[in-house]
Amino acid sequence: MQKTSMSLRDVKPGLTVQIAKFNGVSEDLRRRLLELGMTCGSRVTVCGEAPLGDPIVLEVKGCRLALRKKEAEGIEVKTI
Amino acid sequence: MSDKKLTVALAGNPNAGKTTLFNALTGMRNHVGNWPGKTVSVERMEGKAEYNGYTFEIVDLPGTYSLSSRALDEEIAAEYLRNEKPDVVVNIVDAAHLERNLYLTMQLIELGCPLVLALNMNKYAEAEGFVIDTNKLSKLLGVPVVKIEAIDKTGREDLLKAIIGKPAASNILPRYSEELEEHIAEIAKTPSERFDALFALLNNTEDEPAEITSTRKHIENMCGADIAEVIADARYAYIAGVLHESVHHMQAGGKSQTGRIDRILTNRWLGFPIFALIMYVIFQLVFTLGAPPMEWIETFFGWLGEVCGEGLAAVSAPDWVTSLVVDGIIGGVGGVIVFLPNIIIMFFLLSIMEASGYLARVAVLMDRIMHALGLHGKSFIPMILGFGCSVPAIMATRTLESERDRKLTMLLTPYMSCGARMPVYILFVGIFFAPEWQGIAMFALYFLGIVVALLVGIALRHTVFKAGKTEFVLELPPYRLPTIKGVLLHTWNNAKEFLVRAGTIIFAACLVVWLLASLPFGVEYGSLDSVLGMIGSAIAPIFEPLGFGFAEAAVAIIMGLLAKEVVVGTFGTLFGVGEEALGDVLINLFTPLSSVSFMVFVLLYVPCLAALFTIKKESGSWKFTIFAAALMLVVAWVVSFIVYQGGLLLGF
Repeated sequence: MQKTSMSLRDVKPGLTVQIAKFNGVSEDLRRRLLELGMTCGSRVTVCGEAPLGDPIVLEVKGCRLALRKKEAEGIEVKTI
Repeated sequence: MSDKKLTVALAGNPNAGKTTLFNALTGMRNHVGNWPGKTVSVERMEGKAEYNGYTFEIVDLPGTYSLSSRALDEEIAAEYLRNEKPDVVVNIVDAAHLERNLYLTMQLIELGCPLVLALNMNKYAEAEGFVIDTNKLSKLLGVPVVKIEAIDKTGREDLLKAIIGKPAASNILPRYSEELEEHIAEIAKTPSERFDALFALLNNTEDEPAEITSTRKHIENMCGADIAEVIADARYAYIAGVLHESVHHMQAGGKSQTGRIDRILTNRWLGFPIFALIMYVIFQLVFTLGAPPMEWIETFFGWLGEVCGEGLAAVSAPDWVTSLVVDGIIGGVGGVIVFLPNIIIMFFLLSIMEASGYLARVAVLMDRIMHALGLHGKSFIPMILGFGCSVPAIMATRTLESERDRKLTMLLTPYMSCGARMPVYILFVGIFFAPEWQGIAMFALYFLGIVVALLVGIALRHTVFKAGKTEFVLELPPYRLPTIKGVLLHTWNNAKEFLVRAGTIIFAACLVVWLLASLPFGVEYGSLDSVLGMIGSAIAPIFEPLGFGFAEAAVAIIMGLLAKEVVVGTFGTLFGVGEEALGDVLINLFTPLSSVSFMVFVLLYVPCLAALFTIKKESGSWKFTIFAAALMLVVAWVVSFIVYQGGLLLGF
């Protein structure tokens, strides 16, 4: 299967992807996400989005996190 | 003697059950303290507990995911652990999310804390198929591990026994990659400097030693990633190793309920109707269920005032003594206690929402809308509560994590028209509007409050609150059934705090107003001859451009600081007529246009002293409180000015 890269923002709900790189995320937020377990190579499942379309809900290491799309856009992921 | 007294700090991730454990251990014997050198905004909860002849002084540290950043709560926790060196640190972890929770544990071990690891929520972990070998985990980490349930007494004995066993700091430090270890060893000459070495590498400062800068650069080059990623990776890799040996995951099929519940509560179509229903029920309970006890309290204090008045008259006490007791003390205390039913119900419901995990979902639902205002999704709840009473609404801002969000929300909440402003509208709308326009006029006032909050919010976001970050990452904790004990304790703690802190200061302020309304001796309470009346006459010209530049209006506005509905009673006192006859007097003083301008001013100026002192209490800053008051006064004046002068131009 071909691995493709995309932004976390564009991942369809229900899919699990691997974190590849932080592109356009502020230093503080990137650190917080790392501490919450979103290290490179770790798996993230997109659970869904809020009724108004933003933020999106993720599952990382068994924990659910909400992240705005603007920030999710700066996170590059790989399909697995 | 002293070895029977232990200082115990509780550390853990948010949502791990830290506060539940704190309440369970200390019961009602706790109080709010201050972190040394910090001006507040993060509360320090302290309490006492006893076991087997030992006394524990328990300190609840802020809930954090890490200790390595410069965020205020993390800094407070790290500084406390380093400087005050508690005898034992209890690290409470969510057993169902062990991997993430152990990230903080690694840092506590590296800091050299005498640690007890308390595994909480084991039932949920088992339900999700995790089998945790606590002996193995204890051996691998070098710290005692006990299984507890913070919500009941399960494992309580074991935990207390582990605490009085006074554990030493773990002698098993985490091992990261060879490369990283080599460089840590270069900076940290002894194992106890390990945490500081990692902290220095993570947080670059301008005046750091050249050695740190070059080591950081070197590591980043070697690993091809930046230092924060390298260290987070290393810590999680080590944790994965520990868990691999001590935890078995039976089946993945037993998926937690949280996903299923989320699919309903944050559903595209059902999410908002359910939320609206919940908000409606909360609003009804807080203000409808709260109304009868409020009336009882009012009646009681009214009765008490009468009895005391008669009693004092019977012993022929001077009038000013009677007035001091009846209007000043009894009126003042009553004016504070009357908020208690609202506050108790509000905190009761809020803590159910918080403990169940729903509050975090509210933030997800409302974030898009509130973000447009520069606020966080969670700010919605204080704002909506503001329609009932500003005091509990401002207190509800403490559910917001960032200080910026809390302050901005505190500044905007008072523009939501609270219940106490209603009697003023009813009086004026009843006099100056035709019956068919009265409903629309009332609605327009409420709507104006929302519009002003919006505009003020946008203005503040582009000026005073420019610097704050608006990005957020929010943990959505698993849905959990709240416990009655936990909810009641949480409610009690907050209500107690309101009574003690706000009560004393609001009471004092009420006495000052009483004094102004009573001096010089012999004048009628609150009349134009009193000091208050003179102040009213002096400041009346300020309101000239707004259409109500006479002393009676100014006095009513000042008295309205006690509570907005007092505005109505004050007009009665000033004109010496009952509320029924007020209409005949007011119609000669106000034009329909100036009555609207007056109502707009009443809507927008400082809600009341109680609200103002609640802002002081929640923000911890007099400067901010004065800014808030000044802002509300200026906004009220400007909007009323626009209404009145605009109305004149349009020919009303």
